[in-house]
Amino acid sequence: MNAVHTESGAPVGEAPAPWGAPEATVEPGKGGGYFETGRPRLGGLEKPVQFSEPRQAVIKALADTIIPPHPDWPDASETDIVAFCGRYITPTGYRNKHFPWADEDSFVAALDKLGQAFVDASPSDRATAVEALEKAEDPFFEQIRALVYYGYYSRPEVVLAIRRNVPAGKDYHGPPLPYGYIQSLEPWDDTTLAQANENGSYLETDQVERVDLSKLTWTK
Amino acid sequence: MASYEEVDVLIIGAGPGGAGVAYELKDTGAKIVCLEQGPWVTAPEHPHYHDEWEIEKQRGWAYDPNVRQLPEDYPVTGTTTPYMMNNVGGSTVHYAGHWPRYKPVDFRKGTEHGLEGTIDWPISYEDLAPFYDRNDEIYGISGLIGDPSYPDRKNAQRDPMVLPGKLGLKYAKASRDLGWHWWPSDNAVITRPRENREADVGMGNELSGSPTGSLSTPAHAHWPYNVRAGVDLRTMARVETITAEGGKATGAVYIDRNTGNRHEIRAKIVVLAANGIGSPRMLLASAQKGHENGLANSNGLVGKYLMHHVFAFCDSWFDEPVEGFKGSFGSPMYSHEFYHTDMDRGFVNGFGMQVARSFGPSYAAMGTHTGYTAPWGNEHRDFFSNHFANHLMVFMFGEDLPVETNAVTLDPTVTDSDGIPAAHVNYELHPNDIALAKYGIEKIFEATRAVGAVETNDTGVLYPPPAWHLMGTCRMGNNPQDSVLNKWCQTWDLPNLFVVDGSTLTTGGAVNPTSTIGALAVRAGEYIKRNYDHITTQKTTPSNADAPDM
Repeated sequence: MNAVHTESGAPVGEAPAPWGAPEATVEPGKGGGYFETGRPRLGGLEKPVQFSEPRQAVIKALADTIIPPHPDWPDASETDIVAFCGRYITPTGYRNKHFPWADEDSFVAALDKLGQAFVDASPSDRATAVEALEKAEDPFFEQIRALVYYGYYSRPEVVLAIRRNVPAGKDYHGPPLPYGYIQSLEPWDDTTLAQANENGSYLETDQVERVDLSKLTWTK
Repeated sequence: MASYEEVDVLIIGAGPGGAGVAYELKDTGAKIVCLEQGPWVTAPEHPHYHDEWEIEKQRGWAYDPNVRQLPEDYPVTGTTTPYMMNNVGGSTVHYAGHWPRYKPVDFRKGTEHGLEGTIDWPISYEDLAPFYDRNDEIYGISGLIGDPSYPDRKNAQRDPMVLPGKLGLKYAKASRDLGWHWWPSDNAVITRPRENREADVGMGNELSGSPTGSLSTPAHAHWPYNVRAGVDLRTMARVETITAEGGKATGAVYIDRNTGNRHEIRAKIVVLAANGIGSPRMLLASAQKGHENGLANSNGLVGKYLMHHVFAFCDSWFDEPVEGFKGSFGSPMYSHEFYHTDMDRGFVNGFGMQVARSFGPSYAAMGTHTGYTAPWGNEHRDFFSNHFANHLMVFMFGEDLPVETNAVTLDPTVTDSDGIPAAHVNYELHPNDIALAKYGIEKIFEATRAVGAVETNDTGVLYPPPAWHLMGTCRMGNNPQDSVLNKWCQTWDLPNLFVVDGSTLTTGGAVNPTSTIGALAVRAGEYIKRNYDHITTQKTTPSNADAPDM
């Protein structure tokens, strides 16, 4: 197979990832080839990998198989999951160095392998196909599961559904800032605090003595 | 090299060690340069305002530099997951801010058992106590004075405690019902605003830092003041070699990562503060004529006695809300019921139970702290609804023995992007560590079940451990045979070369180390300030008995 090159002419595996951070001035690949490129962009790629319509349909079908539709929740296939995958996989020609370590070529090949037959299949047949990927320890399985979990639960409409549907999540508001949770956290109460000093002691420096090491129960 | 510049004090590393020493020296008029291989991490680079904040924890904010792979990072090889950051503020820029102190017994573990490489510290808790107080004031610490499991610390300044929420209250009740010690934690999280810093708003996710400055790190607590006072902090400045001549350190050669150019700085005093992996790496990589085995390594102990603490993560789920996504990740409370050695348990040392917060829904789906991944498919919705925010995680972390073969060395083949050898870590758990950790896991679940946990899962004794704590590799000791440093953090081989960071710690205790590293930095800085002339004229490093006092 001929070496694939990026638009800038660098061979695959040598070009800095296109995360939008300034490149280090050290030449890529020099000095052992480690860690020479920029910080990955928050939110993933500025220009997401684009998928053809048939491939988008496979991603959506996978999303609805991994997190099945439910009347109280947004469908996973309707939560920009295609764009999320496009933002967090590594485009062809770039070093695949960040979580979830999915490169475009392998990712697309896995989508094509499932293809229209997967899209057209019944929910139980789709589940069988995903189970086969999981059993085969196909790296694509963990990649797509991570992308669907992280993608789905990051969407504002899903956060709203959590607030509606999960009692323990009624105050969850998505990103930690700017609001935090100071308004809804319970403080210590005086009765509890008053009991805090009931137990506990320490050894003074000059009280420290040799312990009886014959009582050790482990052996080396 | 055509030229060099001369300064009074050269500091390598802008984390708690380097920042703390610089803070003490900043107003002395001394010419101080600090070299930091990474950048400032600015507020907009933090993920806290982003919908995607959870996946970003696995990427640019991954704890492990081998995973994160930022330009300022260097590889660490071996069976290891080293958690560190290389930037202004060091690894505190992604720490939880748990801020316990060592106890008096922690300085006397050689006397108590002396197993493996365990020795007594050359100082006592009482020696360090005033520096703990001073350091706490600089950082900004929230908490409550009065824990009966510690000596009194009535002079320590505290912001009001972080709010416990349902989660903290639950484990406090569990401990109390069992008759165990518990106490609200000290946290490096401010609950009152300070200059250029906002008070905590119960945000959580401090393990990706804090863009508001609510997390107390040297990036907020030290460097703005150090720089204002004239300390020359040079970022993107990666030290290649520490230089020495005639039994003294002479300075360092560094690479300006913006230009690729090399520069030499000569200094009367050099303070190495590059963390428990970075500092031994730097000393070993600075092998030169007269120091063929690396600097400060005539006894071969540089890099040895690496400690990380022994860890297990213990997840419990309840059939009622725990709301772990709320509140600063700094621990709301801890129990030191099992901190002290009790030989009836069959092992030495002890452990702390530290109640941790959780993250968001993706964290719940991806398996929280113990790999308990939510099922995909038809069971997913029910699982998620029953587990998200019903979750309580307790860290079991115990004191690991300092073992000589647990060591940082140089990797013979792998280098960083500038050709400097990577660090290699060999670390194995000792049977005592494992016995201790297994006992600890049982005790944690005893507590959570007592208050109604309906489901539990744990990691078992983690190997490799999540190496937040990088300790012991250039330890302080009692003589040039048992350690790398004297009691003032001077290397035994080169009197004007100090090491002040996690590698300095003689033993690890069963507590997070940063408050102790910070206290040692204040102490070392104060010592250099008071004894500058003496230190710079010393031809050999004085013994602990002969060294001038404060």
